[in-house]
Amino acid sequence: MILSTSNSEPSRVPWMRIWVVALLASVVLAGAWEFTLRDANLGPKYVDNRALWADARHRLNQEGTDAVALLGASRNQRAIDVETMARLLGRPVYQLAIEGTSALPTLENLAADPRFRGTVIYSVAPAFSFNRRLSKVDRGDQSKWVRFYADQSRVRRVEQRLRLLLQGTLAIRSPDAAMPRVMASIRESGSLPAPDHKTVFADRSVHIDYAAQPGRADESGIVDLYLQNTEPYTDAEFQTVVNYFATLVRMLRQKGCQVFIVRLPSEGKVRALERRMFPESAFWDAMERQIDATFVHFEDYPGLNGYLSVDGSHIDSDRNEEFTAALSGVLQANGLR
Amino acid sequence: MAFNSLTFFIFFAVVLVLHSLPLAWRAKKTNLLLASYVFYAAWNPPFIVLLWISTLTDWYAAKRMAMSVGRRKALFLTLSIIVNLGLLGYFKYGGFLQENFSALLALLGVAWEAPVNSIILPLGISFYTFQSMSYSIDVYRGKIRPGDSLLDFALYVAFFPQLVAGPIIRARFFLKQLGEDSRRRIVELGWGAMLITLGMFQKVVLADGLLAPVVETVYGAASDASGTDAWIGTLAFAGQIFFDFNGYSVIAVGLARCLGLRLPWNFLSPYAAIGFSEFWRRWHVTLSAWLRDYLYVSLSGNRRGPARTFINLFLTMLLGGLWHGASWLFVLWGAAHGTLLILERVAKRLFRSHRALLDKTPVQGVLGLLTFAIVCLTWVLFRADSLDAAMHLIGGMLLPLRGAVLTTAGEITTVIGVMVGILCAHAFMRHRNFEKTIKRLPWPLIVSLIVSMLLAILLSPGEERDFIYFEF
Repeated sequence: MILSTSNSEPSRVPWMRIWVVALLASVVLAGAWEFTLRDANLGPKYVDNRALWADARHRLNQEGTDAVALLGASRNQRAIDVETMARLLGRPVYQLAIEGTSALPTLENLAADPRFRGTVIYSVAPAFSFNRRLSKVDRGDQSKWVRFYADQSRVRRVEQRLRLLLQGTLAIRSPDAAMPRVMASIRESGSLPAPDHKTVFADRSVHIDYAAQPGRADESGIVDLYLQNTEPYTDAEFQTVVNYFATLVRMLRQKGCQVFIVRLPSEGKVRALERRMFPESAFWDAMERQIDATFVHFEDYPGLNGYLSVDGSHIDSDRNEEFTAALSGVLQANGLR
Repeated sequence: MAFNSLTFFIFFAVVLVLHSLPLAWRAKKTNLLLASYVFYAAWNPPFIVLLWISTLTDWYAAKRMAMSVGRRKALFLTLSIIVNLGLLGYFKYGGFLQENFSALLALLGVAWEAPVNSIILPLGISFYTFQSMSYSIDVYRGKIRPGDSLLDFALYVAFFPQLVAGPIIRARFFLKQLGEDSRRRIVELGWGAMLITLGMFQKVVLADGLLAPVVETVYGAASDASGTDAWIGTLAFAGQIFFDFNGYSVIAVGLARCLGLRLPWNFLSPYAAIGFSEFWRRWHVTLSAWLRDYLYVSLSGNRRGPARTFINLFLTMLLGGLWHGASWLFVLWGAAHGTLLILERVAKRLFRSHRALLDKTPVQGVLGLLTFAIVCLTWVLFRADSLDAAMHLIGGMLLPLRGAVLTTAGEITTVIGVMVGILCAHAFMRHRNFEKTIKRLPWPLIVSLIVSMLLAILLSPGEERDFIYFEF
């Protein structure tokens, strides 16, 4: 068999010179680009992906009974400032909520993990928890992240830490500076893009700056999204999910874990739609009756109201430290140790 | 530890430093073998035992074959084949066989639920078992004599640059290199580093950064895809799989070159192929050659008349499809290519008298584009999640479906731009040697190319994706 090997090496090519010049030029150009980005307020930023999530999940394992795990979707992730809650509770807090998903797979993962004996704060977002259309897809998505974490070898974890280190240090690795984004902005306006309205921190806290991109603060858009993708569970489906939920909570409590189920605020059109599609009497109250956990609904605690952003569905990022303090107080009043 | 990871970068730097020390050649080879085992164990340590089983079985079988004749010699070859295909069968096809057995029983009215399949597919098992087995078959056929050094043979099976996804190398090609001290000169490092950069650029920037998101958009919602989506998503996948796998192979060649060793190319401008037999001489060259030499030829090749040749071609491609994964879609993909190879042979006979016309450049161009378009159609079977999804997409490509287009104008422009680029590049390189082409470039141009690729890699902050062929 004739193999077409790389036999004829380009021996007369001055490789030493080529590589010295290429590396120097690359370092200079990358450095210049780094300064340009920082100068345009496009600093280092984390990407909220499965690697960042898995990193938080791994660190949770090292905390034993002390740890507090935050589960849910975007409402939880935007509402709670991890650093503030950790300071107020005097315990390590890990944000495991994932945007646009039901958190049941993560609850399942924590319940089955013998190392986890901490506290769970589970935020119920009706559109993701009781929605037969979204829940199938989105449960699947959160399952993928959980599986990614569970399958990670030690080497993969080291790799992840190195990548996060670069992400947190270099502006050129920021999603704001991604080439397609930069090129599109230069094509449209002749200048570098403004920072994205969403900033993710190393602890997976999220800050949303609607002032930067007012188009994103669209309450009607959220309502439309709900209407197009929402189909509440049938009674039988809801009962199956609640039974499973109750089993997972029982497993957690048997390990000595505390479990809080929280309904975070919404208002305006979003709230009206939720009342219509997911009435408290049919969903929330039924859960409270059947699941052995501590339930906290924002409407029962006036101190949790008044922090919402213009989208009617998420806490205003500029006030999430205040909201976190209020929520921590309510949870402590309800027995959070 | 994937090539596109920072941990691999550190690992390889350590290997390179060790390999540069003034040690005896045997010590350097021992270092390379240990590094290869560390590389493999970094993924899942217990599975290294499988690598040892395959290595020791073929080492022993080949030694015994050299001392045996007749049926006894065949017995040791059978031992090698049973052990290697047994490992492959259990770990790769166990679950698939269970599922299909259960479905077959259900058809007969017997209710039997297969136990939950928790078998993990060991990384690279399809590649190293084939490579190890080829050594025994070559010894059996008298093409090579069994080697004297277990160290060399173990390194041949486990050499980390090509361990998990090829190129699948032949013993006589690689063991000869291990026999003498490779003098690693700066020219080898420079050229090797250039190839590593090129491979990384293909994987990180083109496959993962530009094309994979479009593929995921279309194939993730295949049932909603319009005809435009089907074409764009499939063109994107044709590019993604080429840049992903060729990227890996080019990095493998580059890594070996930095260590003073040579590996064969795995891709020779495949999208410039005119006809399917040429496509398979250009795509995944080392697997095609393996299938031809050890399967097609063993089945009697083209020695028993046209009908038997067609059957042999079809079976070879069918099994080649199944080699890629335990799924009926891969079998269908293999069957499609088997059928295309047969049709091509028939067409060549029918149009034998029109040879002069067929050799004209414009006709060759049209035939090349037709080959590419049909190859793209078959990629749908390779990538789709289900037969329904595949049929919907192929239907959309042949009889353009209307509907909301999932892909954006920017994505469509990007995919078309990249694919026109790749077709032009492959057409240009069709009869050219890559090294010689680079050698002719002025050095400042080479610097510009390297700097552009390095910066593009650095500025691609996308999510880390595994190489597609790691799944096989």
